[in-house]
Amino acid sequence: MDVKEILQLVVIGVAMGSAYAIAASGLVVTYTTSGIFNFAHGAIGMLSSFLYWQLTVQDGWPVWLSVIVVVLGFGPAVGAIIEFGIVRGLRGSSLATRIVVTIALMVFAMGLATNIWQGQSASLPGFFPDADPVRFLDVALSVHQVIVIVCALTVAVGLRFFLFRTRVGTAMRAVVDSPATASLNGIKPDVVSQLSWAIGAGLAALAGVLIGPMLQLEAFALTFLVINAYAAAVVGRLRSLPMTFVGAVGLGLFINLVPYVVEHIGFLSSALDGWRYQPALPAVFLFIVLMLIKDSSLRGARPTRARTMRVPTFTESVLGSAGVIAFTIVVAQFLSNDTLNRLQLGFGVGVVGLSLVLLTGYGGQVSLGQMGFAGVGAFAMLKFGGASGNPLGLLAAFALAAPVGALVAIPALRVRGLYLALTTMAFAQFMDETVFRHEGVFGSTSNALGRLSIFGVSTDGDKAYLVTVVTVLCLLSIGVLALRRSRYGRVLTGMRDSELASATLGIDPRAVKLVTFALSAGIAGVGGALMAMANEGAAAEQFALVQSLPVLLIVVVGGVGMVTSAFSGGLALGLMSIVGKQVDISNLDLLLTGVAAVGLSRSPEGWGVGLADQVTRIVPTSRRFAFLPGRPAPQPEPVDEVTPADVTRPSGVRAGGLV
Amino acid sequence: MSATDGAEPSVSSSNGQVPVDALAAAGLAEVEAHTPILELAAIRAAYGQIQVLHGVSLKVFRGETVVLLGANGAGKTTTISVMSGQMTPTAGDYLLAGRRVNGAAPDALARIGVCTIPEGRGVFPNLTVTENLLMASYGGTPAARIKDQAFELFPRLAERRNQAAGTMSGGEQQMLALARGLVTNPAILILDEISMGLAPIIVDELYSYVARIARSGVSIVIVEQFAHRALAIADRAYIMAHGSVTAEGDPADMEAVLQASYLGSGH
Amino acid sequence: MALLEVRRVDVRFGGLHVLHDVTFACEAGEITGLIGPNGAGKTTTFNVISGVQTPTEGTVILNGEDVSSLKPHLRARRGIARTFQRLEVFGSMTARDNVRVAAEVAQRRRKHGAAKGSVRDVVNLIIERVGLSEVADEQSDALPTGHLRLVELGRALATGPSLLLLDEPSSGLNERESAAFGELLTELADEGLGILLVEHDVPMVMAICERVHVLDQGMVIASGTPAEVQANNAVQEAYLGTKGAAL
Repeated sequence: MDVKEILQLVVIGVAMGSAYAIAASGLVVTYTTSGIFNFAHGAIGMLSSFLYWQLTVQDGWPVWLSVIVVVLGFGPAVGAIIEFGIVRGLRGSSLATRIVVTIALMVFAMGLATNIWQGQSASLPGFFPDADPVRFLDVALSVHQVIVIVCALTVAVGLRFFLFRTRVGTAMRAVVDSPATASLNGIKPDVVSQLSWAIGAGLAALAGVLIGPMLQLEAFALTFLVINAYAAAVVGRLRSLPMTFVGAVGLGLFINLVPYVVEHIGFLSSALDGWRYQPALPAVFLFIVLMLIKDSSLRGARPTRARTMRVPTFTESVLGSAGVIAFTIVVAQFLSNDTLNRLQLGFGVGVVGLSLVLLTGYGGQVSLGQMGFAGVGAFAMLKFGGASGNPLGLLAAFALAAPVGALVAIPALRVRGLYLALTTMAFAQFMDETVFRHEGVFGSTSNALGRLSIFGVSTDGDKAYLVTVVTVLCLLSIGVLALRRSRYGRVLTGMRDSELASATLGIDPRAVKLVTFALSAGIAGVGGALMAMANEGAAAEQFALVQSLPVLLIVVVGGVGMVTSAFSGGLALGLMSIVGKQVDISNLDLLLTGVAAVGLSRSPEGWGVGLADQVTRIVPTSRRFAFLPGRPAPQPEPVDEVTPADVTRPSGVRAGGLV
Repeated sequence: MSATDGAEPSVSSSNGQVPVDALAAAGLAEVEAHTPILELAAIRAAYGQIQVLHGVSLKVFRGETVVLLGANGAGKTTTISVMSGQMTPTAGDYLLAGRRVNGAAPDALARIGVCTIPEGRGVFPNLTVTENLLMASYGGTPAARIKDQAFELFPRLAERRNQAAGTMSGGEQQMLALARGLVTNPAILILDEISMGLAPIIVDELYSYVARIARSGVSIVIVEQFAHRALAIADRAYIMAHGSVTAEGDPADMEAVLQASYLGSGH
Repeated sequence: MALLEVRRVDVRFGGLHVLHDVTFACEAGEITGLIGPNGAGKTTTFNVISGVQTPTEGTVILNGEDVSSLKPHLRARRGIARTFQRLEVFGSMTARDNVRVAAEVAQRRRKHGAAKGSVRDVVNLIIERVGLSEVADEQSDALPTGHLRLVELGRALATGPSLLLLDEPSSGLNERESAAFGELLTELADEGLGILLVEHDVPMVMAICERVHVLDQGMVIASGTPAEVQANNAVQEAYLGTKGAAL
């Protein structure tokens, strides 16, 4: 036990925690006042890091000017623009849409950054890089670290003063309490909301400038650092600023001290040998915090603009599938092997998308980490299908991914939709950083994966395999639709409409959600197996966290309530990959799906539904189009939409406002 | 989200409606005696496809106290929502001092002097008493005057000035809501079920304040379900049922009608 | 033994004392009325009975079994069904499917006792009985409030309850529909169902209830037959406000 070493780690942990605290407090401010959880918060910080680097290192601006431009100009402006252009359009939309739109911003920002600052892996100097370290309690601290801690303290005191001592700040707390009453007082909730987004994004920018120098400048890594901010904010239940600060510092300590502990405890260090567990520590922290949250209230019916799709009959789904397969067989004859391969991958991802139709479209739950389950499926395929392409591998993919899904869902289902989304994201990061990159999982050499061989008929050829993938997608779609029409499907729909009513009919809401989540993870596992076989080998990159996000986006854009979105999504991803290679734009899928999904704030049920509406309008009552959605059912807007966390709480009393 | 979404009740705060601005300049209280300060003419309103108001017409003149009665579900609160701007009528005219203000946002109406105290107290539970009062300054009233005036009128609030509103008793919360409404010097005060869930003795106290406000010349609209108190201080009464006004007249005449509709003719 | 006993229930939300020492009982085969002014705590009482709200103190006893610690779905499986004042209809389903979900869940629970196809019969019977035959196949969020109340009633009946909690079932119904509704409740009670009715239409409560409890400010201020309750001064005050003589 080396006291000095521990002290050193503690001090570094506090400095890191301070930076997370700044980011997390911005997240809390925007969430409480607008009811929109800004997944793009980290992306704003990431862009700020890069912009700051561009200004100081590349363009030679003075540091003070760059800081002002980035933190007081760029950040707040981005926040205000997002609020005005996007957030206002999200009133009354479903949780899925609310989540997806800011995810889209995040994905778009990553696509943007990788194109603007492509390949410029650079490091950002901290403040006063040449100054001597400060000594404190026999521990050396860089001046940059001291500045970070001072900034966090300033932000804490400043926010406290702003919220409790200024008129505008008090108005902000008033809007958190009740937007309706606030407007009856002559407060404009929109203006307050915009201000909160400007402040929140400004804090993200500050965090970006402070964190950038502590790490490598890398778009994805910086963006996903936001998971640390989520973890801290969840400690404050996304409401309490003091608890958020506590959470952030706790996380900083956790991240720095756990490796020390592991190193010094023999069996732990040997057990974790070979696992890159350190990048996943924030995810672990988030899991632990979620386990401690208790919130058993049931969600009541909340009017949304949700639309009801007529579910195709069994005959319709079989005929439709036959048509799709026949069409694929014909078209495949004219395509090059490279194109075929990209489409195979696209439709493999489409199967993962189908898992979201069940989970999100039918069940109303959102997962941001389906690729984590897909990777589990690919692993199963590798072990059970192997080089021979044994179809049992697909069953194994389902059978292994499903329980993993249940395991992930257990802590998150104790709470609510948004927490589930955060948990799945943390899970995917854990799988991405720690599991999939472990030698023994996708290995380096022993990774040869044969394509399916069904009753001795190999689907090794690219044409045959594309048809195989499409066929599996069709079969699973028929199955998902059959589920939807069954007793279980009705229970699921009832749960989505009103958990409260479902429970009073004798339905156990948690059991249903758990089963749904497991089924969905299983389907994603099959998708992962198909993706791996398309490449004739599984690789960690295929199942990275960042790959999970476009899947959700593309399916929601296509209309997450319809299985057709899995097809259109798979096709779109395939085509984007083909086009992206032609025009040489990296991460075209991120850019395009980002843009398309941001557009959801204008058409929240997905473009597929809009398209279906057009068709229905042209051919009004034809039976042939009966599979298209019926007429829209207008709904009243929710009266109080700012606090998604307390629908069933007694009116007028709320546990703690924004404090 | 625009305020012209038709059927959907809107909580938008897009304003800038010409009539509202003109009213703000002219001053709502300056209306001539024969023009109603507030008038609903054949107002219809709906939640989605469900029609709730089927042509409600009523008038409030300057300095008058009008009470709106009716059983649960009669449409009283929806009528209030139209008056406060929280809901845009699907048909009919909402007139303030003779000008049509359909679709004006609640915050815009609040700033020109339409003060609504919503059902369920309408205080901010996590803000202190003082902070709650200061929120009235968004209506344009200077902050310093607000506190003096409110604490003078309601000494009980002065004792609790630094307490979070949500921790006070129901009666005190209602008092706070009333105080906050008053200090803005509204032209029209709209009270939705202020006696709900309160002990009779507290209700008496609240209504004594309301009576004082009425004497000061403010036009008042009171919605109550159980309403002897309200009738006692009203100049006129409307009774609503099934989304329309079914009776209008002198408060004294309404008692018989009411007892029959609430408790049945048990006597 | 009473079908339902609510014993000394207290509910506090922060500083608010919503229910104060509430005690009453309901018998099988009877309609029990629970009335009181707005904000008296009636819906909170329902939430406590159905398990949606955990009381600060007190117990709920169903058929002699203490169900206080059970979650809502487990209480439903023991025979408590309810409707909601603020409607909780499955809006994206048809009226028929709303009822069907409940019937299917109940049938599955009773295991294989019932014959195949019986769910459909049960659903049809209930749809007809509550008077939804004409609109049964319309998507429910397009239906008017009155019909939605019936959908909730049908859905609750489909669970095969022994105790039915109805929260403001007649609001949104016109007079004729209200009268028919009252008759239906009386029939159901005659068949052995225990009904606890929260209702603002006091004349209806007085007409169909065997016993009435009056809540005011979270306390039971009167209990008795409709006639007794109607004559009670405290009730008059609670409803119409304090007033000198008259009345």
